[in-house]
Amino acid sequence: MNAVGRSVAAELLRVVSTRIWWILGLVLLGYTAFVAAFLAFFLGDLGAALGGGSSLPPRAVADLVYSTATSVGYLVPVLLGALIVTSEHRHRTLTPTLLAEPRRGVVVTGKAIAGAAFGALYGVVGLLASVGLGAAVIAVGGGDPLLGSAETWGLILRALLAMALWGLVGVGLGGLVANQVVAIVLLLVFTQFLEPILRLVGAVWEWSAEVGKFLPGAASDALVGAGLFGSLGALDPSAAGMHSAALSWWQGGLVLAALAAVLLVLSRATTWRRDVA
Amino acid sequence: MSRLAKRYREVLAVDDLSFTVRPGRVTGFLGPNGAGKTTTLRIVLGLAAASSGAATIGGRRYRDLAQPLREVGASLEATSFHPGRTARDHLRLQATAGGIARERVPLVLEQVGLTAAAGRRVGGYSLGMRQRLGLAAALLGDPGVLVLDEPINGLDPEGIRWVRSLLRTLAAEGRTVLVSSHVLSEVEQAVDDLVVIDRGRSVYQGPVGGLAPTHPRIVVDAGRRADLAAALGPRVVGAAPDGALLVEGVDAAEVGRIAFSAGIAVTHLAAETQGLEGGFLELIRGAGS
Repeated sequence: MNAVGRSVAAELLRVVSTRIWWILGLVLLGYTAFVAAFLAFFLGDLGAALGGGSSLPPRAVADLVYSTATSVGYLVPVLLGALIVTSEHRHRTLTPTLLAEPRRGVVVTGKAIAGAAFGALYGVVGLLASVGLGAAVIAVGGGDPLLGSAETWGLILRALLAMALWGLVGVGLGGLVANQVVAIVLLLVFTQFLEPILRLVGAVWEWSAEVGKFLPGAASDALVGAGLFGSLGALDPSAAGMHSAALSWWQGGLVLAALAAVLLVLSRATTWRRDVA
Repeated sequence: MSRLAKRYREVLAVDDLSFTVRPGRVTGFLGPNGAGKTTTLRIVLGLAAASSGAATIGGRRYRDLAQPLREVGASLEATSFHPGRTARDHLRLQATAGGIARERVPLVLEQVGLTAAAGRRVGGYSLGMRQRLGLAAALLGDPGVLVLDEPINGLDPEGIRWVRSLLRTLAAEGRTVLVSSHVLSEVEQAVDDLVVIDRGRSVYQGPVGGLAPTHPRIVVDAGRRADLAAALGPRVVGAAPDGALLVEGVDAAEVGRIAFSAGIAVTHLAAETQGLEGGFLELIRGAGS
């Protein structure tokens, strides 16, 4: 095995030899399953009948329900990616890591690939919840889960890609910030508070909507093809006057990939260059 | 590993330090806390960059070694383990990263006496057990060069004896062993050569015996202390805490003859027993003045 291969294998072992990865996986599974089932129920014919609202076309319902794997779950791969780096700083384990592989570029590459791999794995977990449970609830409600459609499977593949990219973003961010608590707080504040507000406010004017579509969460939704946020207008009649703008799926993917690349290169040039004390 | 040469020139923590460590011998790297020992070792191992100069292992820098764990085994800090990971997993992952066969893991666990505890999370380990795990990681790649930073810290007396004999065994197998400590007496019996640094500068390099004080002082006392002092004259350089005279420049036999010819009965006569530790402290005090 070459140096990068050894480094990736070691990073994968590093993750699975502590507990956080499956704890995060369980949280992802449970939370996505809850949101997907909730949406599938209330957007389905049964829910529409109960609420008296207009029912959405089956395609929109399926996209919205299945995309909860990323629109709700993307925090998990980015968090794990960040932890892959910051836990090494927190527990001072960079010393043995760099003794085994002193070329730091190789170490960063190994961590990035491991982060992307775990992102994809979380994608599988999230989709098991959102598609697995979501489709069942849609079907029970009398709707069409559209599992045979190529569009559905395209969304599933793009969701896996999005989750892998989020893992990369996490490794880049963790490498740049280094401090574990700061990284976690930054991620929570940005993804749960700042970005939703920016996307909401951004939708007020046309020009700001054009800027807001480049926010990472918006780019991720664009890549996948659906997301909770972009569907607000469809769900809530009061939001009908909002401006919406979205990138195409490949543009969204490029924005996420560029974000990951910038963070990784910046971290390699700064924090990763430092002496290890 | 045929030879090990190191040269450093770092301005602050390590100042123009050059030394060579030879295979088949245990070299003690001594100095008070803050003298720059760990900084030096971190430069050698590629963890920190030297401001100037270079440290090489067998002629190559650490980062130029393709699979460093198979050539150099190092144990730097007893705290460098993830508390939630088991000892066995830590070693497996180091083996994977270092390109070392996994079969080595149970062997080194056995060698350091951690087999029974290998499945436990390191967070529950005592300092002594962490030291053993650090040594196991250093031995993992069966390396020709070992760099151990304060490996005796936190060990019980039995553990200290074990580490000393392990160091001797490793050197007898032809390996190069560099071991740092801030207390000479801890490693005195296990080392062949010494490199002593203080404030980043080398103050002694050579065989461990060479550190013995060259002119031990003589402690002498008599009932007629004042008469004895008069007989010894300017050779008396001070007084011990109990009032006995401290004499320099003559050996104990000569002091005895002087007292005898003056007709003074000596009640106490001895060379000051400070040994190597005394020489070590003398050296560091000397470097400071």
